[in-house]
Amino acid sequence: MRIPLFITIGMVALLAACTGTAPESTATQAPAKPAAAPQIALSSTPPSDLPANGSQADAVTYAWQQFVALNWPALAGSRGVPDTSKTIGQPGDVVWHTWKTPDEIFYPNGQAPPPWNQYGGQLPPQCTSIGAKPTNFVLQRTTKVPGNINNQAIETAKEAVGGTLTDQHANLARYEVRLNQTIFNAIVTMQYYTVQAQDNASEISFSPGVMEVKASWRQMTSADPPSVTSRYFTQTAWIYTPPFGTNPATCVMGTVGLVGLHITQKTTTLPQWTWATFEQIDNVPPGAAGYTGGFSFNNPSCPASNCPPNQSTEKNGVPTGVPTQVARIVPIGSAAAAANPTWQQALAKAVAGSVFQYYQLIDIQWPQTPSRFPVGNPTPLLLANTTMETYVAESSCINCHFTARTQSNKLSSDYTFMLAEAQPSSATSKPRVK
Amino acid sequence: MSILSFPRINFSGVFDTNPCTCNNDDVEPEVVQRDSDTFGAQLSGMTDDQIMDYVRESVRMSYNAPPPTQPTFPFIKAGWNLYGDYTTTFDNATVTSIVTGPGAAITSPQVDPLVGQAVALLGSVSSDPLRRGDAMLCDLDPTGLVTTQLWIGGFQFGAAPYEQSAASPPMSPPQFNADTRGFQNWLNFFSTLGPYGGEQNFIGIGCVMQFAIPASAIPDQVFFPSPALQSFLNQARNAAGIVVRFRLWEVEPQITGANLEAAFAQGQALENPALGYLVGTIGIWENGEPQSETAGRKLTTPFSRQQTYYTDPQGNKVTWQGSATPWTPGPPALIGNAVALVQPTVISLDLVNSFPKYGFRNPSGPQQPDSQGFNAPKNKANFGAVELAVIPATGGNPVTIAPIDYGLTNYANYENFGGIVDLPYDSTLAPTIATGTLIVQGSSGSLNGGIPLLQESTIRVVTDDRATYWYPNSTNTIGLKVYDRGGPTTADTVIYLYEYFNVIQQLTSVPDTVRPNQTVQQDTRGLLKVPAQITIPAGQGFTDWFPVQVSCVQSGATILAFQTDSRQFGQGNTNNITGVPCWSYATYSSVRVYTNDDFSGLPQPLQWQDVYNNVLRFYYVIYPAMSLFIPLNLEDSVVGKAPLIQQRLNTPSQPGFWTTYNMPVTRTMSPAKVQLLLTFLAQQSQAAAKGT
Repeated sequence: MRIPLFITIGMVALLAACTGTAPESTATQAPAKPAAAPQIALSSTPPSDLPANGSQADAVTYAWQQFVALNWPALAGSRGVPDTSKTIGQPGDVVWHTWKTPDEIFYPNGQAPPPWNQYGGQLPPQCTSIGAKPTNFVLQRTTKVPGNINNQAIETAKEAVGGTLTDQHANLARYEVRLNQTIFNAIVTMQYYTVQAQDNASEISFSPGVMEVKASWRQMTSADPPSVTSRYFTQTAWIYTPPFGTNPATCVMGTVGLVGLHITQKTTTLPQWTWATFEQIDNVPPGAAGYTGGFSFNNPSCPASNCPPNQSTEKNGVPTGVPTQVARIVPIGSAAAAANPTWQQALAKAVAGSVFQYYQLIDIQWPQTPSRFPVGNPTPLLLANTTMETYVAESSCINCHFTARTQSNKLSSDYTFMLAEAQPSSATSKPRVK
Repeated sequence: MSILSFPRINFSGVFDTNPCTCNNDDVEPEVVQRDSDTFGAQLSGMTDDQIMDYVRESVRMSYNAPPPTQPTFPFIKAGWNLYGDYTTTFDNATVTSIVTGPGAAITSPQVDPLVGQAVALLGSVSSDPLRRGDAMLCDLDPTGLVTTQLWIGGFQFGAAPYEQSAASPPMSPPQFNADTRGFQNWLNFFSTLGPYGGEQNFIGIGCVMQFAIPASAIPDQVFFPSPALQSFLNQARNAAGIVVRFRLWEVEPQITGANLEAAFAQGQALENPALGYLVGTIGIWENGEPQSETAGRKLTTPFSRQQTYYTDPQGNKVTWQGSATPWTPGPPALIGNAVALVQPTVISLDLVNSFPKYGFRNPSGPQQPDSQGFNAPKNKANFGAVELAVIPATGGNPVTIAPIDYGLTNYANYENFGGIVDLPYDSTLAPTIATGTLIVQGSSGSLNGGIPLLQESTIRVVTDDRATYWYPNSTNTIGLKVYDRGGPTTADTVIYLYEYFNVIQQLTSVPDTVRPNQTVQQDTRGLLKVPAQITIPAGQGFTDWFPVQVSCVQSGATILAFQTDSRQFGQGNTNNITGVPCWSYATYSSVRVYTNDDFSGLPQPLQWQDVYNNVLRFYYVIYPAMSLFIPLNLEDSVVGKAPLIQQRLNTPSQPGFWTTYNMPVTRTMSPAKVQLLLTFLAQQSQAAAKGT
């Protein structure tokens, strides 16, 4: 039987009584002494499932455990393996960022991808010409959904959810998708990197443990002093901008800071997957207490008449450089809001100045009644990341991903849009256009 | 015959439904225009954002009289479930008994493992395994009360695929797949009696639904170790198939208006499904029987409505007085319709919808301190001892046939046996029963001693064409059957055809703080061209459907009733208001004639804005659940999902229209709008292929 939502609200109220204060900025004020908080065990092992008959508070804990495990320092020389001699917040790349990207899996003509630990992918020539290698971090997407996929499941011109996003420094937000080894192995074993194997399947169903992340980044510029950049997980990246209008494609090296992170996992009990999303705390109002560094995607001084919220500033499909005024429409979940300070404090305590204390869980959507066909009663009903669902006033991860299909559109693809990126093996097929 | 013959498989559980209510005009009239399912007068001139804000606002309204006479409650303008997606399920429904003959019931899984197995409704089969969804509850005219229907793709015994309980066998659950529908029968306003403090105003409403699965849909082999089920299916394969009849009542949304108001104010979105009790029976669908109603002799409220009594748990006597004629508004019937089947040694009487339960499970409404919700004790209201009797064809006093156990002393006698009682009768009464009029009355000396509670309508008219979707200017056929005491008629039957329609009655004598009243009125618009009356010759309309030709003159939603009394419902009343109670026993078809839209004047090539404004915009703002899958206001998402939309967008002449996947669920999109959207999608696809 459906669990009445009022029970969840009641439990949230109980949890809210146990949380401490929000983290202070690293400015000149002395940090306030945090209130006593429940003990958090930071672990590099991600949770495998929600507890049976779990609540939203349980789901929030699970989401944070995922965040911690996936942002654990990665073991050098391996992909997807945490370095257990370190702790989260220490310098270096992180586990999820060593996972495979789709272009390392779905090659032209459906050729088999290289093994898990080998880097590959199809880099834009604009980046390889300035020294980018497969082992480097190359950001190729300016929209949440790629515009260069030649198939019907993904539109060919614009993203499904509204277009590019321009930050307050007039730079485009950048996106990437990463897949864990479990789903990579499944794709390779079933040969789902080929359209033919997808079409021959009678059903696409991944085993529990498959995970994907989707990340959004913004460029760190000279306008971002250390007091700002120290609040971001940053990486050096080759930043590719596709051609827009008459502007040619470009590629530059730069520093990018993580502004949004979707974490999704299919579990044994939740075949509709779990869908957690995190944001850097300075994306949009309300701001962190005491922080004066401004927002990445919002100008509070600009009135709505000049800066209509959540409206694309592209003109005829071409970014104009005008910042997108982003506002949060779907609020941070109450269970997430109650739990965030506790986890942020734990992260700050693990490593002094840890960048990860500046991230917050917006919420986690999960199928509360998995047996209720087909989407399992997604809870909460709406969930949006301001950097990735900017233009969709009300969206549901599960409902949208339920429409995901294979490249030829024949079958549902088990809540992942990735299979649509397989490239047909016919010689007459249209090549991918960068 | 149907669920009343043997064997029958009974079940009970919870009915769970999640319809979107924004198009109900429940709180604010004219949010939606009933006939075209487009924006109503209240939303005229508003932008998308303004409409979305408007429907999420709350108002304070009272029932029947303004404050301070009646208290006010918060209501969301979009109704109690703006984010509903129409999915409908049986929750925790399990087989409670298998009745194989008079007095022969299996109630233990040790005797037959079918007992205790789940019973689940299913959505339509799809070639894509992950796409199978749920049954969908969607009225033909959601602004009214009498056109509810359930779109079904089948049912199964055993746990759902996503849940494998330890008790279920390690094989696929027995599934019976067919695209079919159930329709609201016998709307019952007194399904539950007693004080109710909740504000959702569902109070005592309940109804019965029945759907059929054809024999061709029964697999040749069903691997399930239940001898009773195997025997049942063998019989069903040699008959027309399987019928599933169930009753739902005391259906109540789980979130109060106040909590919805608070959630919306915070920007949250909440689904608010309604849950209610469920009792049902699965039986053999015999050749020639209707699908949508239980075959047999129908008993309804008698129209010389004498006072009827029941006592509350404290022993206080409550008096109910009905109106004297079926065509004047009056209080609803206290005892709901029943159906009887005279068998060789017993009369099987379907009382699933008849005798009220006493006491709401949440007497103060949802989310209030209550008596444990669905686990609360259940009791029948006390009508005293009652019996089945027959009024001889030659007249005279009713002759007692047998006492009736309606579950008063043991509620399980009702709940675990599908509400059906098998009453042994003296074989010497058989001729009297065959020609007389069956009644349910208070037993001599009891609380309702000698008072008829139900009386047989000896001539019964039935149609399976309960909800029809017709093209503009089309001519169609509705099939009727007519029975005399469950058998073929021996005289001609004259049937009068009248049109009625749902109206939202905002009484001018009360202020806007009183919630609008949903009712039904004589429809003088003349949407349909039908004969004023038809005559079904004696003996016809029994095995075969008697055709009635109906032509569509205008677009809109109407109700076509088939009455054996020439007097129209509502005759002589102000505005010819019929009230709703008569629809508990009337025979009718709900009809939607699509609007004859003409988009030939739109500029070519088609522009997104024209398609959005004319087709998608309404569905975007009124049914937010749809846009959770495909944001209907974003051109790229709609165009990007073209294959999905093309598969699901159908007109009534296409098989897909009759599946649970059809878009929109409401089936209110005119064929011209369907064509406009499909043409636009094809145009964009061609343009993309050319690289333009």
